[in-house]
Amino acid sequence: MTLRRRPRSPAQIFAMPLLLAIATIVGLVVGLTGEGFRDGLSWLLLALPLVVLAAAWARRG
Amino acid sequence: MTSGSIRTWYWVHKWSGILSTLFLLMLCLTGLPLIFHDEIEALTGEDYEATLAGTPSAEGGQPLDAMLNLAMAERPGEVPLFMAFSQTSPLLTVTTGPSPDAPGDRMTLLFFDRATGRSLGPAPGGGVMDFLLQLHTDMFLGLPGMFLLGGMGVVFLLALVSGVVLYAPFMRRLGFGTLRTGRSKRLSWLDQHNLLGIVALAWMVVVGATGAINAFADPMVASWQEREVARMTAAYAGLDPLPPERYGSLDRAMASAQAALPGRSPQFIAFPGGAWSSAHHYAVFFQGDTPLTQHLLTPALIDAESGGLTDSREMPVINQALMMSKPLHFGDYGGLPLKLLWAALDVATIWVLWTGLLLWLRRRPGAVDRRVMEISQGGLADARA
Repeated sequence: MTLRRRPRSPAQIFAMPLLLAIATIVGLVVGLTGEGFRDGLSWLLLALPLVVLAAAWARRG
Repeated sequence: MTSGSIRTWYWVHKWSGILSTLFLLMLCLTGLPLIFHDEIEALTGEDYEATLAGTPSAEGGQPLDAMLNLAMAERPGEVPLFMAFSQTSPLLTVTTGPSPDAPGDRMTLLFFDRATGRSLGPAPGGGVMDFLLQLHTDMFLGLPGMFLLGGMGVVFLLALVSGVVLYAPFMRRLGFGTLRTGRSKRLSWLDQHNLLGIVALAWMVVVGATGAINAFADPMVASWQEREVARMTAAYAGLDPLPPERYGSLDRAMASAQAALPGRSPQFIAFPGGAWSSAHHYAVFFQGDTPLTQHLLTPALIDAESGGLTDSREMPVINQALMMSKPLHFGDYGGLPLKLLWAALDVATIWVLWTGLLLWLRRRPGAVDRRVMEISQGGLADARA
């Protein structure tokens, strides 16, 4: 991957991390509030960081 | 971000990391099998929850007095300390000890089937899982060990915060998810450390913070006992502690407690004289009646001699926070898939710690400026220096 010439703004840098953090927190709490559908949603949300990792690994330079 | 502030945050990140990494590695490694302790215990035939059939012990079965008599017959000369119920199986446990205020290592845990009234013998224990749990909780150092690990949890949180601050200058010219594995080893470690750290960040913050809260559980319970229980049982202040031979019927006590908190399921009874009650009361702890509040316990204090209700009050906010933090630390509230995710994120944390350690151990000689430059240039210190 090449270095970008124009630096990214903090908003750009933290957009994805913020999204993942929100998904994680919502996933953790939703699982606490019930069984069944809520558990399933919690698994999906908590799997998101791992999916992102796998994608980054597949695109590694 | 100026290179001066990068330098400051780098210093915070370096030292909070150095201080906590070895402890955190130990916690992550011992925590990994502990996530699956139910499954591991089932494999070794120690999981009575899965094998006993019948009404859950929290709902019914043989009378509590009969179960307690059975337990005391197995431990002559001792006194009862706790009786705990299962929400899913007839398993009922009784903890005994040489005296009402016996410390944890003098207690004996006995298992019973409340449906049949059969004794299942002493709880299996002393195995590898117990060893790991002890290491994970206090490193065999008791309360000071718990405080030390709790403190390390706080230092770990500081490392996470400073890591996020340094993520910004590092990623200024890099796209999210950058992993440069084809160049130098150091660059590869840096990218892995940054990516794994930021991706698992929220999970690490939650598990780190809830772990730190749990480390201070004992003083929080002691404070509840000193303030709240003392206030609720003010009428008994100055009386001699109730001797065990005058303990009254548990079934009558449970009936009074359930009348005070109807519709809730009991989790355990703390006997008089221990850390969870007064010197004259059975404290019957009930779960909340919704999924969210089932981790929150509310005690009903029952006069242990007469079996009548003395008082019932919600636990203070700090104790409620402690109770809510437990499932968030253990990851045991969403079935096996949640445990597997917990394990994967735990391994990710181990890798963040390991690459962080490597980055520090294998740093090339040179002033701190080189590392500050490395951060501000997205890892390419040499290309720019």
